[in-house]
Amino acid sequence: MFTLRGLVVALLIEAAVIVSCLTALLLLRWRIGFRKQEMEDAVRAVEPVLHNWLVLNADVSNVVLALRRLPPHAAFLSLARLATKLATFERQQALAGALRHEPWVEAVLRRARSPLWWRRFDVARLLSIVGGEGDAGLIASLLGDRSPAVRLVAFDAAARLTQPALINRALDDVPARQDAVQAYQFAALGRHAKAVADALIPRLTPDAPMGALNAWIDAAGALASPEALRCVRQLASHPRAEVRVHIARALRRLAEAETLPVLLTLLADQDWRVRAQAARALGALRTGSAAGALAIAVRDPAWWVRYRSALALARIGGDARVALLGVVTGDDRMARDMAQLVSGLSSAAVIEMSEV
Amino acid sequence: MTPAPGQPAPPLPAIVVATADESLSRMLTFALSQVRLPYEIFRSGTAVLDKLLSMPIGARSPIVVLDVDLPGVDGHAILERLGVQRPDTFLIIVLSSHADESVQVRSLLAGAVDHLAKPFNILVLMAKLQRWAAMSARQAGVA
Repeated sequence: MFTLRGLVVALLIEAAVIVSCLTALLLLRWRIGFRKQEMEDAVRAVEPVLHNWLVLNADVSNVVLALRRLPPHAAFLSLARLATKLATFERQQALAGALRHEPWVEAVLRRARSPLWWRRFDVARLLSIVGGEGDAGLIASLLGDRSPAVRLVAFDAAARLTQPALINRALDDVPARQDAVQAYQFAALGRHAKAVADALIPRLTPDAPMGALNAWIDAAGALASPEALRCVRQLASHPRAEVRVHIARALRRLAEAETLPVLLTLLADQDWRVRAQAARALGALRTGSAAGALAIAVRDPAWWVRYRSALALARIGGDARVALLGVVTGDDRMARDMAQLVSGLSSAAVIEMSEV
Repeated sequence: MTPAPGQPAPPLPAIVVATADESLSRMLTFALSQVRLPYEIFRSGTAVLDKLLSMPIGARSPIVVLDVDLPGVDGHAILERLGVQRPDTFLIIVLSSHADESVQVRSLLAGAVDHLAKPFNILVLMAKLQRWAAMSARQAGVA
Protein backbone atom coordinates (compact mmCIF):
# COMPACT_ATOMS: atom_id res chain seq x y z
CA MET A 1 0.00 0.00 0.00
CA PHE A 2 2.55 2.60 1.13
CA THR A 3 6.00 2.28 -0.29
CA LEU A 4 9.04 3.32 1.67
CA ARG A 5 9.85 5.80 -1.06
CA GLY A 6 6.40 7.37 -0.83
CA LEU A 7 6.71 7.76 2.91
CA VAL A 8 10.13 9.38 2.59
CA VAL A 9 8.77 11.85 0.02
CA ALA A 10 5.83 12.69 2.29
CA LEU A 11 8.20 13.18 5.21
CA LEU A 12 10.43 15.47 3.16
CA ILE A 13 7.47 17.54 2.01
CA GLU A 14 6.20 17.83 5.58
CA ALA A 15 9.64 18.84 6.81
CA ALA A 16 9.87 21.46 4.06
CA VAL A 17 6.47 22.88 5.02
CA ILE A 18 7.43 23.06 8.69
CA VAL A 19 10.78 24.67 7.94
CA SER A 20 9.18 27.24 5.62
CA CYS A 21 6.53 28.06 8.24
CA LEU A 22 9.18 28.52 10.90
CA THR A 23 11.28 30.61 8.53
CA ALA A 24 8.29 32.74 7.62
CA LEU A 25 7.47 33.25 11.31
CA LEU A 26 11.03 34.26 12.09
CA LEU A 27 11.19 36.58 9.10
CA LEU A 28 7.86 38.15 10.07
CA ARG A 29 9.01 38.59 13.63
CA TRP A 30 12.21 40.20 12.43
CA ARG A 31 10.28 42.49 10.07
CA ILE A 32 7.87 43.56 12.82
CA GLY A 33 10.80 44.27 15.13
CA PHE A 34 12.58 46.19 12.40
CA ARG A 35 9.49 48.29 11.62
CA LYS A 36 8.90 48.97 15.28
CA GLN A 37 12.48 50.11 15.76
CA GLU A 38 12.26 52.21 12.61
CA MET A 39 9.18 53.92 13.94
CA GLU A 40 10.70 54.48 17.37
CA ASP A 41 13.75 56.04 15.71
CA ALA A 42 11.48 58.20 13.56
CA VAL A 43 9.49 59.35 16.60
CA ARG A 44 12.72 60.22 18.42
CA ALA A 45 13.89 62.19 15.39
CA VAL A 46 10.65 64.15 15.00
CA GLU A 47 9.78 64.77 18.64
CA PRO A 48 12.40 67.45 19.40
CA VAL A 49 11.41 69.59 16.40
CA LEU A 50 7.75 69.05 17.20
CA HIS A 51 8.35 70.15 20.78
CA ASN A 52 10.14 73.27 19.53
CA TRP A 53 7.21 74.08 17.30
CA LEU A 54 4.53 73.43 19.92
CA VAL A 55 6.26 74.87 22.97
CA LEU A 56 8.59 77.53 21.56
CA ASN A 57 6.54 78.48 18.46
CA ALA A 58 9.46 77.61 16.19
CA ASP A 59 8.90 77.51 12.45
CA VAL A 60 6.75 74.61 11.32
CA SER A 61 9.10 74.10 8.35
CA ASN A 62 11.52 72.39 10.76
CA VAL A 63 8.91 69.71 11.37
CA VAL A 64 8.36 69.37 7.63
CA LEU A 65 12.09 68.92 7.04
CA ALA A 66 12.45 66.38 9.83
CA LEU A 67 9.68 64.28 8.33
CA ARG A 68 11.08 64.63 4.83
CA ARG A 69 14.35 63.03 5.93
CA LEU A 70 12.58 59.85 7.02
CA PRO A 71 11.41 56.91 4.88
CA PRO A 72 7.79 57.57 3.81
CA HIS A 73 6.39 54.78 5.95
CA ALA A 74 8.24 55.98 9.06
CA ALA A 75 7.30 59.61 8.39
CA PHE A 76 3.65 58.68 8.12
CA LEU A 77 3.57 56.52 11.27
CA SER A 78 5.47 59.00 13.42
CA LEU A 79 3.23 61.84 12.23
CA ALA A 80 0.10 59.79 12.89
CA ARG A 81 1.31 58.91 16.36
CA LEU A 82 2.57 62.30 17.46
CA ALA A 83 0.33 64.85 15.76
CA THR A 84 -2.92 63.47 17.13
CA LYS A 85 -1.47 62.98 20.62
CA LEU A 86 0.40 66.19 21.17
CA ALA A 87 -1.11 68.84 18.89
CA THR A 88 -4.53 70.45 19.20
CA PHE A 89 -6.79 70.47 16.14
CA GLU A 90 -5.81 74.03 15.28
CA ARG A 91 -2.13 73.14 15.36
CA GLN A 92 -2.81 70.05 13.29
CA GLN A 93 -4.49 72.26 10.70
CA ALA A 94 -1.38 74.45 10.52
CA LEU A 95 0.81 71.37 10.13
CA ALA A 96 -1.51 69.94 7.49
CA GLY A 97 -1.14 73.02 5.34
CA ALA A 98 2.65 72.72 5.44
CA LEU A 99 2.77 68.99 4.78
CA ARG A 100 0.10 68.37 2.19
CA HIS A 101 2.29 68.54 -0.93
CA GLU A 102 5.33 66.81 0.48
CA PRO A 103 6.65 63.98 -1.75
CA TRP A 104 6.22 61.33 0.92
CA VAL A 105 2.60 62.40 1.50
CA GLU A 106 1.89 62.16 -2.22
CA ALA A 107 3.58 58.75 -2.28
CA VAL A 108 1.28 57.42 0.45
CA LEU A 109 -1.84 58.97 -1.10
CA ARG A 110 -1.11 57.27 -4.43
CA ARG A 111 -2.14 54.02 -2.75
CA ALA A 112 -5.77 55.12 -2.63
CA ARG A 113 -6.69 52.62 -5.35
CA SER A 114 -4.72 49.74 -3.84
CA PRO A 115 -6.54 46.39 -3.69
CA LEU A 116 -5.14 45.97 -0.17
CA TRP A 117 -7.48 47.46 2.42
CA TRP A 118 -4.68 48.37 4.85
CA ARG A 119 -3.02 50.51 2.20
CA ARG A 120 -6.28 52.40 1.63
CA PHE A 121 -6.64 52.61 5.43
CA ASP A 122 -3.26 54.37 5.58
CA VAL A 123 -4.45 56.81 2.93
CA ALA A 124 -7.58 57.62 4.91
CA ARG A 125 -5.58 57.92 8.09
CA LEU A 126 -3.12 60.32 6.50
CA LEU A 127 -5.94 62.38 5.03
CA SER A 128 -7.47 62.63 8.51
CA ILE A 129 -4.30 64.48 9.53
CA VAL A 130 -3.20 66.43 6.44
CA GLY A 131 -6.27 66.39 4.20
CA GLY A 132 -7.27 69.69 2.68
CA GLU A 133 -10.22 71.08 0.74
CA GLY A 134 -8.66 69.77 -2.49
CA ASP A 135 -8.91 66.19 -1.23
CA ALA A 136 -12.70 66.21 -1.01
CA GLY A 137 -13.09 63.92 -4.02
CA LEU A 138 -10.64 61.35 -2.70
CA ILE A 139 -12.21 61.43 0.76
CA ALA A 140 -15.67 61.02 -0.76
CA SER A 141 -14.50 57.90 -2.56
CA LEU A 142 -13.00 56.48 0.65
CA LEU A 143 -16.28 57.16 2.46
CA GLY A 144 -17.80 54.60 0.09
CA ASP A 145 -14.96 52.08 0.45
CA ARG A 146 -15.83 48.40 0.80
CA SER A 147 -13.76 48.12 4.00
CA PRO A 148 -15.57 49.37 7.16
CA ALA A 149 -12.24 50.32 8.73
CA VAL A 150 -11.39 52.55 5.78
CA ARG A 151 -14.86 54.12 5.82
CA LEU A 152 -14.56 54.91 9.52
CA VAL A 153 -11.22 56.66 9.23
CA ALA A 154 -12.36 58.41 6.03
CA PHE A 155 -15.19 59.81 8.11
CA ASP A 156 -12.62 61.39 10.36
CA ALA A 157 -10.94 62.88 7.29
CA ALA A 158 -14.28 64.19 6.02
CA ALA A 159 -15.04 65.77 9.37
CA ARG A 160 -11.88 67.89 9.09
CA LEU A 161 -13.28 69.77 6.13
CA THR A 162 -16.23 72.11 5.98
CA GLN A 163 -17.46 71.21 2.52
CA PRO A 164 -21.25 70.80 2.57
CA ALA A 165 -21.16 67.81 0.19
CA LEU A 166 -18.82 65.90 2.51
CA ILE A 167 -20.71 66.87 5.63
CA ASN A 168 -23.97 65.73 4.03
CA ARG A 169 -22.33 62.49 2.98
CA ALA A 170 -21.04 61.99 6.51
CA LEU A 171 -24.46 62.67 8.03
CA ASP A 172 -26.05 60.22 5.60
CA ASP A 173 -23.62 57.58 6.85
CA VAL A 174 -24.34 58.06 10.57
CA PRO A 175 -27.72 56.25 10.80
CA ALA A 176 -26.27 53.02 9.39
CA ARG A 177 -23.67 52.66 12.14
CA GLN A 178 -23.70 51.04 15.58
CA ASP A 179 -23.82 53.20 18.71
CA ALA A 180 -20.10 52.99 19.46
CA VAL A 181 -19.20 53.98 15.89
CA GLN A 182 -21.74 56.80 15.98
CA ALA A 183 -20.13 58.15 19.14
CA TYR A 184 -16.80 58.23 17.29
CA GLN A 185 -18.44 59.94 14.33
CA PHE A 186 -20.08 62.57 16.53
CA ALA A 187 -16.75 63.37 18.16
CA ALA A 188 -15.21 63.82 14.71
CA LEU A 189 -18.08 66.00 13.49
CA GLY A 190 -17.82 68.14 16.60
CA ARG A 191 -14.76 69.89 15.18
CA HIS A 192 -16.99 71.92 12.88
CA ALA A 193 -20.11 72.06 14.96
CA LYS A 194 -21.60 75.09 13.21
CA ALA A 195 -21.29 73.70 9.69
CA VAL A 196 -22.58 70.31 10.79
CA ALA A 197 -25.51 71.87 12.62
CA ASP A 198 -26.44 73.82 9.47
CA ALA A 199 -26.52 70.54 7.54
CA LEU A 200 -28.39 68.76 10.32
CA ILE A 201 -31.26 71.22 10.75
CA PRO A 202 -33.05 70.47 7.43
CA ARG A 203 -33.00 66.75 8.31
CA LEU A 204 -34.75 67.17 11.66
CA THR A 205 -38.30 66.92 10.36
CA PRO A 206 -41.19 64.74 11.55
CA ASP A 207 -41.30 63.01 8.15
CA ALA A 208 -37.72 61.74 8.26
CA PRO A 209 -37.36 57.93 8.52
CA MET A 210 -37.39 56.98 12.18
CA GLY A 211 -33.98 55.27 12.32
CA ALA A 212 -32.24 58.14 10.55
CA LEU A 213 -34.12 60.75 12.58
CA ASN A 214 -33.05 59.13 15.85
CA ALA A 215 -29.40 59.18 14.76
CA TRP A 216 -29.62 62.83 13.71
CA ILE A 217 -31.29 63.78 16.97
CA ASP A 218 -28.43 62.05 18.79
CA ALA A 219 -25.99 64.00 16.61
CA ALA A 220 -27.68 67.27 17.57
CA GLY A 221 -27.35 66.31 21.23
CA ALA A 222 -23.70 65.30 20.84
CA LEU A 223 -22.89 68.59 19.10
CA ALA A 224 -24.84 70.52 21.74
CA SER A 225 -25.83 72.90 18.98
CA PRO A 226 -28.57 75.23 20.28
CA GLU A 227 -29.96 75.78 16.77
CA ALA A 228 -30.24 72.08 16.00
CA LEU A 229 -31.59 71.28 19.46
CA ARG A 230 -34.33 73.87 19.08
CA CYS A 231 -35.45 71.94 16.00
CA VAL A 232 -35.31 68.77 18.08
CA ARG A 233 -37.43 70.41 20.76
CA GLN A 234 -40.12 71.16 18.19
CA LEU A 235 -40.35 67.43 17.46
CA ALA A 236 -41.26 66.60 21.07
CA SER A 237 -44.81 65.60 20.16
CA HIS A 238 -43.62 63.05 17.55
CA PRO A 239 -46.08 60.13 17.39
CA ARG A 240 -43.38 57.45 17.80
CA ALA A 241 -42.19 56.80 21.35
CA GLU A 242 -38.76 55.68 20.11
CA VAL A 243 -38.22 59.14 18.66
CA ARG A 244 -39.44 60.88 21.82
CA VAL A 245 -36.88 58.85 23.81
CA HIS A 246 -34.07 60.27 21.69
CA ILE A 247 -35.56 63.76 21.88
CA ALA A 248 -35.72 63.66 25.67
CA ARG A 249 -32.14 62.43 25.81
CA ALA A 250 -30.85 65.15 23.47
CA LEU A 251 -32.67 67.98 25.24
CA ARG A 252 -30.41 67.55 28.28
CA ARG A 253 -27.95 69.64 26.28
CA LEU A 254 -30.33 72.59 25.71
CA ALA A 255 -30.41 74.76 28.80
CA GLU A 256 -33.17 77.21 27.85
CA ALA A 257 -36.34 78.27 29.62
CA GLU A 258 -38.47 76.84 26.79
CA THR A 259 -37.00 73.38 27.34
CA LEU A 260 -38.51 72.93 30.82
CA PRO A 261 -42.20 72.69 29.84
CA VAL A 262 -41.31 70.30 27.02
CA LEU A 263 -39.42 68.02 29.38
CA LEU A 264 -42.17 68.17 31.97
CA THR A 265 -44.61 67.04 29.28
CA LEU A 266 -42.25 64.21 28.35
CA LEU A 267 -41.93 63.34 32.06
CA ALA A 268 -45.65 62.55 31.95
CA ASP A 269 -45.40 60.54 28.70
CA GLN A 270 -47.27 57.25 28.41
CA ASP A 271 -44.01 55.41 27.55
CA TRP A 272 -41.74 54.71 30.56
CA ARG A 273 -38.59 55.03 28.45
CA VAL A 274 -39.52 58.60 27.52
CA ARG A 275 -40.32 59.44 31.14
CA ALA A 276 -36.95 58.06 32.25
CA GLN A 277 -34.98 60.09 29.70
CA ALA A 278 -36.96 63.22 30.54
CA ALA A 279 -36.07 62.77 34.22
CA ARG A 280 -32.45 62.30 33.28
CA ALA A 281 -32.50 65.46 31.16
CA LEU A 282 -34.08 67.51 33.96
CA GLY A 283 -31.32 66.34 36.29
CA ALA A 284 -28.61 67.20 33.77
CA LEU A 285 -30.06 70.70 33.34
CA ARG A 286 -30.32 71.10 37.09
CA THR A 287 -33.77 72.65 36.82
CA GLY A 288 -34.72 73.23 40.43
CA SER A 289 -38.29 74.12 39.47
CA ALA A 290 -38.79 70.53 38.28
CA ALA A 291 -38.18 69.15 41.77
CA GLY A 292 -41.88 68.73 42.50
CA ALA A 293 -42.56 66.81 39.29
CA LEU A 294 -39.48 64.65 39.85
CA ALA A 295 -40.49 63.88 43.44
CA ILE A 296 -43.78 62.57 42.03
CA ALA A 297 -41.92 60.62 39.32
CA VAL A 298 -39.91 58.81 42.03
CA ARG A 299 -43.22 57.01 42.73
CA ASP A 300 -43.56 55.90 39.09
CA PRO A 301 -44.54 52.25 38.51
CA ALA A 302 -41.46 51.74 36.31
CA TRP A 303 -38.21 51.08 38.22
CA TRP A 304 -36.09 52.87 35.67
CA VAL A 305 -38.19 56.05 35.90
CA ARG A 306 -37.93 55.97 39.71
CA TYR A 307 -34.18 55.52 39.43
CA ARG A 308 -33.68 58.34 36.95
CA SER A 309 -35.93 60.69 38.88
CA ALA A 310 -34.14 60.01 42.16
CA LEU A 311 -30.76 60.56 40.52
CA ALA A 312 -32.06 63.79 38.97
CA LEU A 313 -33.18 65.09 42.38
CA ALA A 314 -29.80 64.21 43.89
CA ARG A 315 -27.97 65.84 41.01
CA ILE A 316 -29.99 69.07 41.19
CA GLY A 317 -29.28 69.34 44.91
CA GLY A 318 -30.57 71.98 47.30
CA ASP A 319 -34.38 71.84 47.66
CA ALA A 320 -34.48 68.94 45.22
CA ARG A 321 -32.31 66.86 47.51
CA VAL A 322 -34.56 67.84 50.40
CA ALA A 323 -37.51 66.58 48.33
CA LEU A 324 -35.64 63.31 47.77
CA LEU A 325 -35.07 62.93 51.49
CA GLY A 326 -38.77 63.57 51.97
CA VAL A 327 -39.50 60.52 49.83
CA VAL A 328 -37.26 58.46 52.11
CA THR A 329 -39.79 58.96 54.89
CA GLY A 330 -42.82 58.70 52.61
CA ASP A 331 -45.46 56.00 52.49
CA ASP A 332 -44.60 54.50 49.09
CA ARG A 333 -42.30 51.56 49.79
CA MET A 334 -40.74 51.30 46.33
CA ALA A 335 -40.16 55.05 46.14
CA ARG A 336 -38.73 54.96 49.65
CA ASP A 337 -36.28 52.18 48.73
CA MET A 338 -35.12 54.06 45.64
CA ALA A 339 -34.71 57.34 47.51
CA GLN A 340 -32.68 55.58 50.20
CA LEU A 341 -30.49 53.95 47.58
CA VAL A 342 -29.72 57.20 45.76
CA SER A 343 -29.51 59.57 48.72
CA GLY A 344 -26.54 57.58 50.05
CA LEU A 345 -24.46 58.15 46.90
CA SER A 346 -21.62 60.66 46.72
CA SER A 347 -21.88 63.62 44.32
CA ALA A 348 -19.35 62.06 41.96
CA ALA A 349 -21.26 58.76 41.94
CA VAL A 350 -24.54 60.58 41.22
CA ILE A 351 -23.01 62.29 38.21
CA GLU A 352 -21.39 59.13 36.93
CA MET A 353 -24.53 57.05 37.27
CA SER A 354 -26.65 59.80 35.73
CA GLU A 355 -24.51 59.74 32.61
CA VAL A 356 -24.59 55.98 32.11
CA MET B 1 1.90 90.26 51.24
CA THR B 2 5.20 90.50 49.33
CA PRO B 3 8.50 89.53 50.96
CA ALA B 4 10.41 92.31 52.71
CA PRO B 5 13.12 94.02 50.63
CA GLY B 6 16.29 92.00 50.56
CA GLN B 7 14.52 88.79 51.43
CA PRO B 8 14.36 86.11 48.75
CA ALA B 9 11.02 85.28 47.16
CA PRO B 10 9.51 82.05 48.45
CA PRO B 11 10.60 79.05 46.38
CA LEU B 12 8.16 77.81 43.76
CA PRO B 13 6.23 74.63 44.59
CA ALA B 14 7.24 71.37 42.95
CA ILE B 15 5.15 70.09 40.09
CA VAL B 16 4.29 66.42 40.10
CA VAL B 17 3.42 65.02 36.70
CA ALA B 18 1.77 61.62 36.41
CA THR B 19 1.30 60.14 32.95
CA ALA B 20 2.01 56.76 31.43
CA ASP B 21 2.14 58.20 27.92
CA GLU B 22 5.81 58.34 26.90
CA SER B 23 5.34 60.98 24.19
CA LEU B 24 3.30 63.21 26.45
CA SER B 25 5.79 62.76 29.26
CA ARG B 26 8.66 63.86 27.02
CA MET B 27 6.76 66.90 25.81
CA LEU B 28 5.89 67.93 29.36
CA THR B 29 9.51 67.42 30.42
CA PHE B 30 10.68 69.68 27.61
CA ALA B 31 8.06 72.33 28.31
CA LEU B 32 8.66 72.38 32.07
CA SER B 33 12.38 72.71 31.58
CA GLN B 34 11.75 75.72 29.31
CA VAL B 35 9.73 77.55 31.95
CA ARG B 36 12.18 76.46 34.67
CA LEU B 37 9.66 74.99 37.04
CA PRO B 38 10.89 72.18 39.32
CA TYR B 39 9.11 68.94 38.50
CA GLU B 40 9.01 65.21 39.02
CA ILE B 41 7.56 62.68 36.57
CA PHE B 42 5.77 59.47 37.50
CA ARG B 43 4.63 56.71 35.16
CA SER B 44 2.28 54.76 37.38
CA GLY B 45 -0.69 55.57 39.55
CA THR B 46 0.65 53.54 42.45
CA ALA B 47 3.97 55.38 42.51
CA VAL B 48 2.43 58.85 42.30
CA LEU B 49 -0.17 58.07 44.94
CA ASP B 50 2.52 56.87 47.34
CA LYS B 51 4.49 60.02 46.65
CA LEU B 52 1.53 62.36 47.17
CA LEU B 53 0.40 60.68 50.36
CA SER B 54 3.86 60.83 51.89
CA MET B 55 4.95 64.22 50.53
CA PRO B 56 5.79 66.71 53.30
CA ILE B 57 3.67 69.79 52.78
CA GLY B 58 4.73 73.26 53.78
CA ALA B 59 2.78 76.42 53.19
CA ARG B 60 2.92 75.96 49.42
CA SER B 61 0.45 73.76 47.62
CA PRO B 62 2.26 71.45 45.22
CA ILE B 63 0.79 71.29 41.75
CA VAL B 64 -0.15 67.93 40.30
CA VAL B 65 -0.72 67.25 36.60
CA LEU B 66 -2.65 64.00 36.75
CA ASP B 67 -3.46 61.87 33.73
CA VAL B 68 -6.55 59.76 34.23
CA ASP B 69 -5.14 56.80 32.27
CA LEU B 70 -2.53 55.45 34.67
CA PRO B 71 -1.52 51.85 35.33
CA GLY B 72 -1.96 50.56 38.85
CA VAL B 73 -4.37 53.17 40.20
CA ASP B 74 -6.20 55.43 37.77
CA GLY B 75 -6.40 59.20 38.09
CA HIS B 76 -9.99 59.28 39.33
CA ALA B 77 -9.21 56.88 42.17
CA ILE B 78 -6.16 58.96 43.10
CA LEU B 79 -8.32 62.08 43.24
CA GLU B 80 -10.77 60.38 45.53
CA ARG B 81 -8.05 59.05 47.84
CA LEU B 82 -6.43 62.46 48.08
CA GLY B 83 -9.81 64.02 48.73
CA VAL B 84 -10.23 61.77 51.76
CA GLN B 85 -6.69 61.60 53.12
CA ARG B 86 -5.21 64.95 52.11
CA PRO B 87 -8.05 67.30 51.22
CA ASP B 88 -7.20 70.73 49.78
CA THR B 89 -3.50 69.98 49.88
CA PHE B 90 -2.71 69.95 46.18
CA LEU B 91 -3.61 71.98 43.11
CA ILE B 92 -4.59 69.20 40.73
CA ILE B 93 -5.03 69.47 36.97
CA VAL B 94 -6.63 66.42 35.43
CA LEU B 95 -5.73 65.29 31.91
CA SER B 96 -8.24 63.09 30.16
CA SER B 97 -9.11 61.86 26.68
CA HIS B 98 -12.72 62.77 27.42
CA ALA B 99 -14.09 66.28 27.31
CA ASP B 100 -17.67 65.40 28.32
CA GLU B 101 -19.31 67.75 30.74
CA SER B 102 -19.94 64.96 33.23
CA VAL B 103 -16.29 63.89 33.24
CA GLN B 104 -15.14 67.46 33.83
CA VAL B 105 -17.67 68.06 36.57
CA ARG B 106 -16.71 64.77 38.21
CA SER B 107 -13.03 65.79 38.28
CA LEU B 108 -13.79 69.23 39.67
CA LEU B 109 -16.15 67.93 42.34
CA ALA B 110 -13.50 65.42 43.36
CA GLY B 111 -11.08 68.25 44.09
CA ALA B 112 -9.33 69.13 40.83
CA VAL B 113 -8.84 72.80 40.01
CA ASP B 114 -8.84 72.23 36.25
CA HIS B 115 -9.60 69.59 33.65
CA LEU B 116 -7.92 69.46 30.25
CA ALA B 117 -8.97 67.20 27.40
CA LYS B 118 -6.19 65.60 25.38
CA PRO B 119 -4.73 66.75 23.06
CA PHE B 120 -4.44 70.01 24.97
CA ASN B 121 -2.64 73.22 24.19
CA ILE B 122 0.74 72.91 25.88
CA LEU B 123 1.26 76.68 25.94
CA VAL B 124 -1.99 77.16 27.83
CA LEU B 125 -1.03 74.48 30.33
CA MET B 126 2.37 76.05 30.91
CA ALA B 127 0.78 79.47 31.44
CA LYS B 128 -1.63 77.97 33.97
CA LEU B 129 1.16 76.16 35.80
CA GLN B 130 3.22 79.32 36.05
CA ARG B 131 0.23 81.24 37.33
CA TRP B 132 -0.68 78.68 39.97
CA ALA B 133 2.92 78.30 41.01
CA ALA B 134 3.22 82.03 41.55
CA MET B 135 -0.09 82.18 43.46
CA SER B 136 0.91 79.28 45.64
CA ALA B 137 4.28 80.83 46.41
CA ARG B 138 2.66 84.17 47.23
CA GLN B 139 0.19 82.52 49.57
CA ALA B 140 3.09 80.82 51.30
CA GLY B 141 4.59 84.26 51.81
CA VAL B 142 1.32 85.38 53.43
CA ALA B 143 0.91 82.32 55.66
